[in-house]
Amino acid sequence: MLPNSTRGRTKIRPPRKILSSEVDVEKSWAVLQKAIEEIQHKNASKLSFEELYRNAYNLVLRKHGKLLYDRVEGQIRKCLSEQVRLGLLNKLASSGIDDRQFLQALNKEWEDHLLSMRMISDVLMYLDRVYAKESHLPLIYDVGLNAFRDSVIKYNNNEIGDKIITIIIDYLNRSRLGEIVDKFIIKAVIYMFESLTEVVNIDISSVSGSANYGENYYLHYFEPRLMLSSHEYFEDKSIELLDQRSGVIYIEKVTQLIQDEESRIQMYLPDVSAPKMLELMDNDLISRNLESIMMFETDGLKLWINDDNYTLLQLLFKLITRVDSEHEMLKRRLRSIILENGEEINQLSNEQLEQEVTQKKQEEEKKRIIAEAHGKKLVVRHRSSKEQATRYAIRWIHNFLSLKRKYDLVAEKSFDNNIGILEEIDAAFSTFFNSNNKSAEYLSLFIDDCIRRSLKDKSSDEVEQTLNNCIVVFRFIKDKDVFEKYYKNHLAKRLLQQKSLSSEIEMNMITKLKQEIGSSFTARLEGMFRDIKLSQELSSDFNNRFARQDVGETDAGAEIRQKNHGRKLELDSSILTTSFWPMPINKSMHSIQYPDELQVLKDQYEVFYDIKHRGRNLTWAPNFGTVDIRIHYPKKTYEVNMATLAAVVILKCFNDSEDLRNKHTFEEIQGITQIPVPELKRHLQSISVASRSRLLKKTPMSRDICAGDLFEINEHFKSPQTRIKVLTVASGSKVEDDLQRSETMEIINKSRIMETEAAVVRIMKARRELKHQELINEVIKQLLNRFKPQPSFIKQRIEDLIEKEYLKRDEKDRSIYQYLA
Amino acid sequence: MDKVANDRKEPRGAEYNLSTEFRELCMACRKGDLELVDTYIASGIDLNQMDEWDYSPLILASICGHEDVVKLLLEKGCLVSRDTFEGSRAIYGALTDSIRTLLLTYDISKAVDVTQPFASHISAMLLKPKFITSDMLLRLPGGDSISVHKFMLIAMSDFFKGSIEDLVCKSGLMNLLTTTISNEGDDSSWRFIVDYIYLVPKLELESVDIENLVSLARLVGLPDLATASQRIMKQKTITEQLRVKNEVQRQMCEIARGKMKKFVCSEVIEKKLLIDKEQDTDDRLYALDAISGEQKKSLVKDNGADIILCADIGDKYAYYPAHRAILAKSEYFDTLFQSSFAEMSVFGNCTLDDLGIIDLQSLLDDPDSIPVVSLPISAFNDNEKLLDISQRNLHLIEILLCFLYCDYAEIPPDMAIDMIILADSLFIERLKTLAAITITRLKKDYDEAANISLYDIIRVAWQTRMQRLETEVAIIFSMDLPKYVSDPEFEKIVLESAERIQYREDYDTIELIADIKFYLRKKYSIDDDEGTLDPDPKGDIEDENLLERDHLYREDLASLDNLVVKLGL
Repeated sequence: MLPNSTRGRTKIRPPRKILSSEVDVEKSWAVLQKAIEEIQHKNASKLSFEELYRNAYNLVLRKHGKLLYDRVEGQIRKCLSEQVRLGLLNKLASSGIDDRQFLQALNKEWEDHLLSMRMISDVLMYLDRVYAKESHLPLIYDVGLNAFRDSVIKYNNNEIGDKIITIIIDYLNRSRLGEIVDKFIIKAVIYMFESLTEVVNIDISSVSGSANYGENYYLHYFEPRLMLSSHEYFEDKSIELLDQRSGVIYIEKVTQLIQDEESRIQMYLPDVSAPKMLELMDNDLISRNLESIMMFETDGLKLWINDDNYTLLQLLFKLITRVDSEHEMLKRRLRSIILENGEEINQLSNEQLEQEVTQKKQEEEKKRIIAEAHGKKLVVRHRSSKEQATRYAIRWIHNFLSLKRKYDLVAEKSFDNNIGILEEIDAAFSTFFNSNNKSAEYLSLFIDDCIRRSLKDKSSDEVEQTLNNCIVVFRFIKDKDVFEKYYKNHLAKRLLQQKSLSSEIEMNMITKLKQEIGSSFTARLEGMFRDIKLSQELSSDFNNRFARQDVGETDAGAEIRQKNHGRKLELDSSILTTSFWPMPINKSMHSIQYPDELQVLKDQYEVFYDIKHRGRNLTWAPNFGTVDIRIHYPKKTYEVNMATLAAVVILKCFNDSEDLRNKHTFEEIQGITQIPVPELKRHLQSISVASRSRLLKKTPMSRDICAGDLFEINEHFKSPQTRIKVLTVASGSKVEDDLQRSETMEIINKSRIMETEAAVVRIMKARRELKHQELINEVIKQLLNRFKPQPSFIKQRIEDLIEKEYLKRDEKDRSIYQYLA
Repeated sequence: MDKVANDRKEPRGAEYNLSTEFRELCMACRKGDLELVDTYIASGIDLNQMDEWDYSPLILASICGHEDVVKLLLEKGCLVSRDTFEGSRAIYGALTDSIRTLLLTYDISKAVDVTQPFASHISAMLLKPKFITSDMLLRLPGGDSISVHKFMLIAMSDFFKGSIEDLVCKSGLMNLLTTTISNEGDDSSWRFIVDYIYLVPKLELESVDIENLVSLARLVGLPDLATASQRIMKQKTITEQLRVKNEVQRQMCEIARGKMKKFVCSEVIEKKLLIDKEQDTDDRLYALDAISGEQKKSLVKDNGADIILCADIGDKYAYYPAHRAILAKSEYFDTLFQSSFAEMSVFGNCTLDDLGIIDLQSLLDDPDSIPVVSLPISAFNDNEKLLDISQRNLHLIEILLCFLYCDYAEIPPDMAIDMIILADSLFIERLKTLAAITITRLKKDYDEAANISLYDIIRVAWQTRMQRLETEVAIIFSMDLPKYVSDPEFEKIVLESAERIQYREDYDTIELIADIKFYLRKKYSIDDDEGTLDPDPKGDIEDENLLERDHLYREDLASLDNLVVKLGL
């Protein structure tokens, strides 16, 4: 549609000229100028708001906004510069006026000025809203603030401003010295500084000049001076404190200082400065010095931990938290101290052991002297070096645990149980624990000792506590498989020799291990345990049913009794699953010639077992068993418990009742019994050399068993007890010597090869195809609970598996492996 | 083009509300939970606020497509205007067309919940007064007291008319202080009634003894309150209660507005006193002295007024009794009342700071001290006959008073320009806008219908920063360009427009010329590339038209350019 152009032919209405009436600019200004003067001289109560507003309104309406704006600004500046500023300078020059009075005078001027500006800007509100806004100029009120800044504070090269800053900083310094200063005037002046905006100059030509500190006077002029003077103060203070060379004093004083300064900052300074001041203070007092303080030899972190100085440590922790939420410097120090502590543990354990030995020696020496005085001879038993080492191991774990507990307490009481610090402590403990290659064995020995002896008569809480401690140590072990190896050995011995205090404790320990690391680790341990239990049932079955010998005697029972000269004979068997137990099958025991009494038991048991479990193979291991024999000596009859092999010797060679004075050479005995030489030597030693169980008489009477030695029944044997236990030489759990250890490691290494290969095959079977790195990672993940394999070790295994054609490399991408079914 | 703008100066975006209640309200608006939204509205929360992501409840309800919630919000005074950022977001983001239509019908120019600005000012007088204006202390039986305005009580109920002494007799209230009343009723009922009088949008009946409240309400002459509270209590479910509460709230605002209108007419406008000007005196000072203390007293006697408003209407001065609490709606008066200039000095003496009220009686005792404030602009000179001017000016001032007291403004078109100038001098943006809308509603018939000169409109628009009017005039010029381009007044106005830009360079455009050119292009449907703006299916006919349109367009353009050259711009 085209607009209707025929419309609007009517006349155009002329304007009414409502806005064109003129105004007498000078007259209006005169009114306003006078009013501003009156306001500035606090004579405003007679002025009419309406009249002033109307004059300003008319000026602005008639486009005289600029004139009004500029003249108002000029008027304000004139008054400030000629009256306020000069008045303040006079006060400064006058001797009767101190700093505080000067600041109060200044603040009075400032507050009066604000009040005046409030009134001036009220009557000029139309100028503000219309002219200033449209011309993008500051409002009149802000013009007034800027005028105060330029015409009073910063006038003549910041003359008055500099003076004020110096006074305030002096006040702050005096307050640091404990003087009480007028906080209201300081706050008021600082508030004034903050109200004075600084024009941020973005003119490129001036960028090279002084740095831009911020957009108000406080930030631009005051704060940099404040920072500088505070820095000097903190630095002086820290040097003064450092000179005392005492960590305790430093930490306590600095904590106090920081507290004081914080309340000072809160009291006098605006929020914007607080973080900057705190940072400066923390940096000057904490970050720079605290690490070297902690390292003070005579009064440093190590000492405080040693003395359990929880309060101080907590102060330290809080200080460090201020500067670093990660507490890096504390962690660094803790780590190095823990590693030192680790060294000390080795030494400490040694010392304790020596002390113990010396003490023992002295005691025994005393006993010996007493015995001699009574005309008796006492053979002093010397601990073997192996036994010594075992004691050392137990001590070491013990010391390790107390050290750990010490740090746990420190962390709890002083370090808020901070996760990062706890982790660092654990890592440091782990480092020094694993730096000792015997530590896994030590732990196993410690547990062995606990279960054999030291937990006897302890309350269930104490037992629980001890076992939990063991788990604490266990967590530090990097190669769990090494520990498993030792633990299995020690457990086997305990089980077979029935040396455990209770099977409950054993089971408890295994359960804890299981909880800690999972059932794959404990499966074999549990298997061993199960074997022993089943064996007990089997034995009872055998003795009470199959070979029953009293009422309702069976054929087998009758045969056994007959072989045993008509006396009852029972067999207690332990059926051990080969793969669970650590002991190798000893082939050399095959050919042993058993005496009839034992042979018949063996035969009958084999028959019994074959009925029970057809097809299972029994291999006898007489080297682990014992036999109870009643021996009739001319003077007395003794019941003697001895190793099976020893019993074989006695029964086979010296049980000929017709010839009691039968003598056999070593070679003869060996020939008769077929016991392997080293074993035979050991057992002969225990029944012919050991003082308390010298059942046989050896000629010559030397300690060691040599070829050609002659043995016969020791007719003069006597013992206070009727029941005697023959101790087999070297039967307890002891620290391995280096040779044994390398053997153990060899075995462990072999099993690691197996486990690693098994893991590789398991993974590849599931995934069919995998990149090299992924496979390595996966293997490491799977074996984590056992040990930490090196990638090169895994690579070796993979090579082997490729050779064995379990795997092959991808033809295109050599870094990919494929599983071959 | 009917361009209407809400000329609010401060963007509402500055008012973030991060309170839990507001968040929950916003969430309810997202979910469309009508009842929950209702609950929050009933709690009196300001609906025209934003969360930290600049969402208002209305925008959320609109973009999430909950028409019922949108409707509710609009009814409860949510502002929507195409010309504001928030308004346009709500409208253009609306999920459905019906929501968009709904929003457009509530656009400020069409229909506004006029009770909202009215009620919020009244409530603020009670809840957050910027300076002390209350003049009565309502001492409650429990010992607490509420400071109230006598004129509010009078305006809302005839019961309170007359002196305090009468009041005490009427109700058996105990008179503790001259300006203090108290009764045997319970505190919560009194509080409820005060909240009701001040339109506080709470209506919480839970802690009130209904029987007490109802009898008290009837006693003090608020039967509508009695009925309403009984009605609310009758509702069985909370939802129903909320619905009725909202209805009651709207009703009570309307009722209050009606009462306030009655009050301003009978107690303010009717009471006016006209005094002839004497010649040869200093106008202004004379205006303040021309009225005697007795005259002042008779003005403010029975209506709780604390100030006298004086206006120069030409040959006379007009004096009205007025209330600072109400006049403070204008920023001019607000600033004046809070300042410490001569006009306000008397209040320094008669304010009872410890009680938080002013002592009205002491003003009445010394009637000469009753302050008189005058409007900052004097008689609106016109070249019409003098008598006419006085009447016009009185009318204008009475519209202003009516607007201030009850937010009601019926502006005759021929007074709109004067009203814009008056409102501008007093900083009353809403009144300015309403006056401008009066003008734009006339469309082009200024000369015939309203005796308004276009040139006046544009000058006033420049002067008072009314973009809406500038645009309007530019459109009219462009519609009838040949008629205006030859008018010498038009030349003047172009020159004035050019002068509005300080230090104008050759290449700077003249705002008015640029605007007219813009609307010329629209008029002839020509875009910058000389093509048509709207792709038209009837291509052939349009093409014919195009040539013709293009021709006219170029003609108009050339006439404008010639003028500019002629004026040497």
